[in-house]
This record gives sequence, C-alpha cells and structure tokens, in this order.
Amino acid sequence: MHIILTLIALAFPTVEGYLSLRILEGKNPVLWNIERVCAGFLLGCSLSGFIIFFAVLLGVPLTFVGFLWIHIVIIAFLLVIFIKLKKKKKIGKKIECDLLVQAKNLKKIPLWLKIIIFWLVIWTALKVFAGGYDILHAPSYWDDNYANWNMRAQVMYTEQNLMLHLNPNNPLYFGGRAAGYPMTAYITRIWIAMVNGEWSDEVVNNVSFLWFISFLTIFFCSLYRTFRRDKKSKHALVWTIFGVYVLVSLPLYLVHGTNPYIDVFMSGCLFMVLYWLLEWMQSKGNDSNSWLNILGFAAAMMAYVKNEAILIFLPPLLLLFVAASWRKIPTLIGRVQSMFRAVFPALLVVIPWSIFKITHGLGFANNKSVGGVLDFVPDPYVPSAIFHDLMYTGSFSILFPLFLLIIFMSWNIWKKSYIGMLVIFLLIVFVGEFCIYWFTDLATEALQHTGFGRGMIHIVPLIVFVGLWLIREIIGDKESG
Amino acid sequence: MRRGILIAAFMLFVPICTFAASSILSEEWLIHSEDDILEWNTAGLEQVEITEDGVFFDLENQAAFFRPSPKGFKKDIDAMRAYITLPELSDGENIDEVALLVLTLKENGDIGHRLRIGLDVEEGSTDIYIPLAHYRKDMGGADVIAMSFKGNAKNIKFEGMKFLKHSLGQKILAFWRSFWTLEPFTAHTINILVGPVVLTDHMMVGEWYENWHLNGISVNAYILVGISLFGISLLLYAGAFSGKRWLDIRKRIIILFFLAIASLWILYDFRMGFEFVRNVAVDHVQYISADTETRTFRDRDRFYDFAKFVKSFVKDRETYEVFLPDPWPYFGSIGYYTYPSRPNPGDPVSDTWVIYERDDIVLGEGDKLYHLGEAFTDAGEVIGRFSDDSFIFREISN
Repeated sequence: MHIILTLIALAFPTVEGYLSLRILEGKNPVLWNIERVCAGFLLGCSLSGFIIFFAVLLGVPLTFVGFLWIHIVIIAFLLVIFIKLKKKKKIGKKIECDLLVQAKNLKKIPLWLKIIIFWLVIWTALKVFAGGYDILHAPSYWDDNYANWNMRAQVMYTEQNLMLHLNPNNPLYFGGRAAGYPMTAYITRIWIAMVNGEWSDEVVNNVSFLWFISFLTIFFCSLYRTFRRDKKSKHALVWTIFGVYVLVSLPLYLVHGTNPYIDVFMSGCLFMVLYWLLEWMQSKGNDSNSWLNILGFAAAMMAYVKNEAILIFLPPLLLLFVAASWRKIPTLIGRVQSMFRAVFPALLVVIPWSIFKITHGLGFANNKSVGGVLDFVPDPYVPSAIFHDLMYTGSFSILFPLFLLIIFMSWNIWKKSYIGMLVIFLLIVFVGEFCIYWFTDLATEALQHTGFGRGMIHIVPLIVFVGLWLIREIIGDKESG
Repeated sequence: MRRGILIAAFMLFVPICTFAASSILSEEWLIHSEDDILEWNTAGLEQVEITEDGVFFDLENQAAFFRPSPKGFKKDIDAMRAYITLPELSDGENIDEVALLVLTLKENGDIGHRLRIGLDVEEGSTDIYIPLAHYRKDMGGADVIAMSFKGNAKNIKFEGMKFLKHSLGQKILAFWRSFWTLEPFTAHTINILVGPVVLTDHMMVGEWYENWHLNGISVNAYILVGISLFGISLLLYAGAFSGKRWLDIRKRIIILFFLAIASLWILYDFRMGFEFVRNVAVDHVQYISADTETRTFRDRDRFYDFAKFVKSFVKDRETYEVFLPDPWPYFGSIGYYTYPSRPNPGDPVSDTWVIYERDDIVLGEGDKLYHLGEAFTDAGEVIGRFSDDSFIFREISN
C-alpha cells in the first residue's frame, strides 16, 4: 500500500515536470516520451520543492491540504498554458523512440557478443533490483540519511512548520543539521509522508531508488540518441546497453542509487543539463530552440537540488554556455537571446534562494558557511588521499585512470568536437573540487574519505558518457558500422 | 587416452595440494638449553632459569632478547612465530608491552633505524604469528631482531622463534582468497568502498581480514600495471614485429586493447557486484526476513527494533536521558526514531532513562540505577525491558 501511495504522491511532481518540459519543447518535441516522464519526475520534484517552499514561507500551511493545493495550482496553471498552446498549434506531436526497430540489429551481432550482452543486462538488473529490495526494507542506517535528509524533513512534517521561528543556535532551527541545503529532497519526503499519512523509513526512503531508475532510463535514452545518430552504426543499442551497464557497475554509484541519498539525483540533473547543452550545440532549426529551453529549465532546477550546483557547477556551465553560443550563433542579438533563455530560469531560482539564505544566515557550501570555506588552509595530505581514493579503491573501479588515458588518447578527436566542451567542463569541475578540498577546511572530508567521493558521484555519469563516446570514436566503430 | 589424462591429473593433484598447503621452515631459534641461550644477547633479565621448555625470567621495567637477524631475513622470510608464555598476573604486576624490534645498525654499531611491531599477547602459552611480509618496506636494513618486554611481572617464559617462508601455492591461495574476501556494509560504505585487495600471506586472509585488508595491495594497482604492460606490448608488436604499417593495424590493436580493459572491467564488476548482492542477501537473512524478536541489522545489532520499542515509552516526554554503547551513531539515530521526543545531550533533566546494551548500568538498592557502584538516579522502576542490558527506567516522582 505504501508503494502505491508513494507513486500517487510522486505522480504530482512528475506531471508538473512533464508538462513543463512539454510546454518548453513547444512545436518541436525533442525528448522521447519515456525520457520526458523520467526527466519530468526528477525536475518536477525540484520544481514543486521550490514553489512549495516559497509558498509555505509566504503563509501556505505546511499540511497535506496546503501542499495538495499548491500541487493542484501548479498543475492547473501548466495545463492551462499547455491547452492554450495546443489550441494555437504551438505544441508539436510527441516523438517515439525507435528502439524496437534498432533492436533488430541485435540479431546480426555475433553469438559471443549476444551472450555477453545478455549477461550484462541480467547482472545489472539483478544488482539494481537487489538494491531496490534493500532500500524498501532497511532502516535508516547511514549517517546523513537519518541525521540530515530524514530528520530535517521529519521535524518539519511533525511540527508542520519550517522551524524558522527558532533561535538560529537551536539545533532544530530550519529543521537542523544541514540547514543550508536546498529543500527539494526534504519537501519531496514530506509530501510522500503526507500522502501516506505517516512518517516511516519504509515510506520516505525509497524515493531515492525511484530517482535512480528514472535517471538510468534518461541515461539510456541519451546514449541511444547519441549512438544511433550515425545511421550506419548497427551497434548503437549494444553501446547503449554497455554504457548503462558501466554506470551501474561503478560500485559507489550503485550504493548511492540504492540508498536514501540525493547525490545520484544531483548527478542526474547535472547530466541532463550538460547532455542537453551538447544536443543544443549539435542541433539545427527549430529543435535548437527546444533543447535550449529545456536545458535552461534543467539548469534552474539543478540549482535547487544541492549546494554544489550553485557553487561548483553553474559557474563553469555559464562559461561553457557563453563559449558555445559564441560558436553556434552568428549574431550578437541571437547570442543574447539564447543567453537569456538559458540563464534567466536559473536566476529565478538562484536569486530568491540566495536572498533567503543570506537573510537567514545559512551557509552556501556543504553544510559550512561561506566564510569558513574561503579560509585558505592548504593541507599537504589531501592530494595523496584523493589519489588513493580514485586510483586504489573499489569505489569507482578503474574509471578515473581509464578516463584520463582516454582523454589523452583522443586529444585530436575531442578538441575538434562538441564533446570537447564536456571534457573541459569535467576538467574544470574536477580541478575545482580538488582545489576546494586541498586548500580549504573541507580537507577533512577528503582525508577521512567522506565528502570527496560523494562529490565525484555527481560527475561520473558524464565521465561514462564522454568516455564511451570517445572510445567509440577512437576505435572507429561509427565508420565501420 | 581420456583415462590416462584423468590418472595424470589425479597424480598431480596430490603434490600440488601439498605444495599449496605448507609453509617452509627456514630457520628455528628455540631455547631448550644453556647452549641455545649463548646464541642470544640479553638485557634486563632478572632471576633467569633455563629449562627444556624455554627461558623463565622476571621482568622489572624492561627486558629484551637480541640476535643478529638470520640470513635473507628481509628478502626471503615471509613470517615468523614467537613462543611466549605470560603468567597470570597478581596485584601490582603488569605487562605494558611485548614487541618485536627490527633494528638497523649504523657503521659504529649504534641503532640507526628501529621498527617496533607490537604483539597482542594474552596470559598463558601463546604462539604468536607475525606477518613480516607486510612490514618489509619499513624494516630498513634489519640487521638485528629483538624480542622486547616492558612492565613488571614474574615467571615469564620465552621459548624462541621460528622463521617461515610461504610456498608459491600458499601465496596464490592467499591472493585468490583475499581477492574474494568481501567487505560488509558498514557506516563508511556510503563514502568509500575498499574494493578487492591482495594479500600474499594466507594467515592474514579471512578472520584477520578486518585488521589487515587495508595493508594489502589494491587489485587496481595490478590491473593498472597489467593494462600498461599490455598496451606497451601491443605497441611494440605493432611497431617492431608485425611488419605492417601502423595505419593498417591501428584499429585492430586499439580494439584488442579496449577489449582487454573491458574484460578486466567485467571481472572487477563481478567481484564488486557479488559483494553488493551478497550484502543485500545478508540484510535479507539477518533482518528483513528474520524473526522481529531476534533480528539484527549489520553492525548495529538490535538497535533499530530497540529504537522503535523506546518510542512508545518516551512519547509523552520532551527529552529523555540515554546510556548508549557509543555516542555515534546511536545518539543521533535514536533521536530520529523517537522524534519529537529527543535524547538529552546535557546534564540530566528528565525522569526517563533509556539504556541500550550497557551491562554496566544496573538496577540496584533502593530501586535506583547504578553505574560502577554509584547510584545516579532517584528511585524508580523499569517501565520497559527490551533485553537484559537494554531497558527504559523511569524515576518515581515524590
């Protein structure tokens, strides 16, 4: 029963996200339907989390009825826009994925490869659903799970209050623990508990697993769209399956995907933004507008998932976008227009949220105040700790040294290609995170092997995507078909 | 023909098993007579008695047995055993440390480098296994080894040492077993997974894993070196031996290279995925499908059922006092499960005391709770008992 009620609860943000994407895609839908449902679910949680939070701040009661009303208003608002646009024929027909057509190519591959693909699919499914079974039944075991994600949400759910009336020194001020975190995960948990009529681990924890499988679906669709683009390639589906397999085979990513954390959700949003940026850069005609609109929306929603989005991901993303629009659009007005459409939605989220945090004395970085993080206190042991984590542990298999090798091997490929933008983004983020842990008092999180590994969770889907794309180019599978 | 192969395989099986099962005794330094002790230098020994069973001595502050290390000690010896018997200690006696010292001497005979390996020696006769292979890189020149004792006690027995070399079979077995030694879900799993490590000492695999796995060499290191060598070999083949132009064989070489990496990746994933699925299966057996009266969860024992048990007893209290095995993770976790009732982090203010797995907290005279013989509550009663050492106590208001 809990599962059904949870799915009903999550249908609301999913519809909101779906409608938003459909409206933003306009005349030229670019996402496949299943992809839009999954992306709608992730982005809708963030959208409703943002709107509900500010509505509660403005006086809407933090109760089931209050939340239900807000959801109804959001959906009604989006529906009205959708219907109006549809009447004006500004909403195009949905496009379907041609997976079944392409699946026929699987018959043509050698038997040994079929056996391997079969094994990879079964093994991946077994791991994912074993993790799903565990998250459904296990208590809140991990530290941030009970002390942060669940506790803050439970406090607000139980007290029906944001707890902003307390003294800032009170451990329960704004729910307590990581009070500076954006509210998406908490609001989603509160809403699920409200629909279920009770707070329990069984009720609130499994949303992380649903985020995980939704993102795997998005990742699958993104890989498939990319690899099938070259019509000659018969192996698009094989590469796609292998890509999803590789992502799930990253041990720490699997652990996070099947446990009540939010880093996989964050990684999903970041991936959508970057991948949709890549699609925008490669697209022509009206598709271009659709990709631009949804990438702006995704960037805005990403900003309200974790603090890292505003501090670490949005600044290089902005630089990348400026460079991309300079390359793609010939006129200055066109560039300014595209900048507006991509950046303005993010500002709508970042500005009010930042004002709220500043006026309430909340930190901007990983549960610490900005002042604390900006202290320059280099720790000489951090580089070796990070090196050890990435090279000699099981967390990410051999992904990082392998990726390094691939980007060395494919220098001539990516420096001329759009994918080079993603490589540059990854390098900037990696170096940025490395410096943050090395030179600030966040060093302890690298030395104790805590925060740094979780930070890498955010970028590993991009690494897998870029890595596979480059390997495919290096071995020339595209040309040979 | 087929039968011949089977017989040959069987005949090979027996020596291979023997080859794999035993360590080779390299050298033996046992003390059973006065002649044996002459091989040693000693310091700080009191009331020495040499018997057929070893040297008995009294320890006053510090004592040690020294001897130049055996030939090839640093390079060839994989492990050693030390034979020590500690007496039952009476009042005023104590043994602070028993350690193996590996000393490197300067040219003038002074000690230049010292490696101290503390040994966990219990009362009674003990045969202590020391995995030297894991200390090899810290040994320096290893000119002298010594057994050192610190403390004050009578009648300690030291019988000597044996030096062991592990056979290749044992090393391969240790390699294989350590690769498949799986890490359970623990509190740090959400941040880092140690992954497969390789140990070459079979004695350190298995029950010793918890203590030693971090000293092992990550399988990643072997894989990365292997990939590098394979890549270099392919390039050499392509450049020097294939007799073909690079452009003609480039694609084949690169595909071969990435296929090798993919194979290793799949093998690695099988190991890590197996660990994950095994851990979920353990959760299923020990907690999810187990009887709620006895089930346990990972390293937290019965805490989660206890926390739910506590909730009904404290729901009418804003705060309650707690005695837990450790503040972390139990304090925050029980606070989550009993919210809005919360454990009190400061001086006691509540009449309700929650005790979890603390057998040092007992209900005593006057119906009060006692710790180390001291009462620390007013009179009251146990209002809920979860187990012998876990219960909820409430003071009776006057």
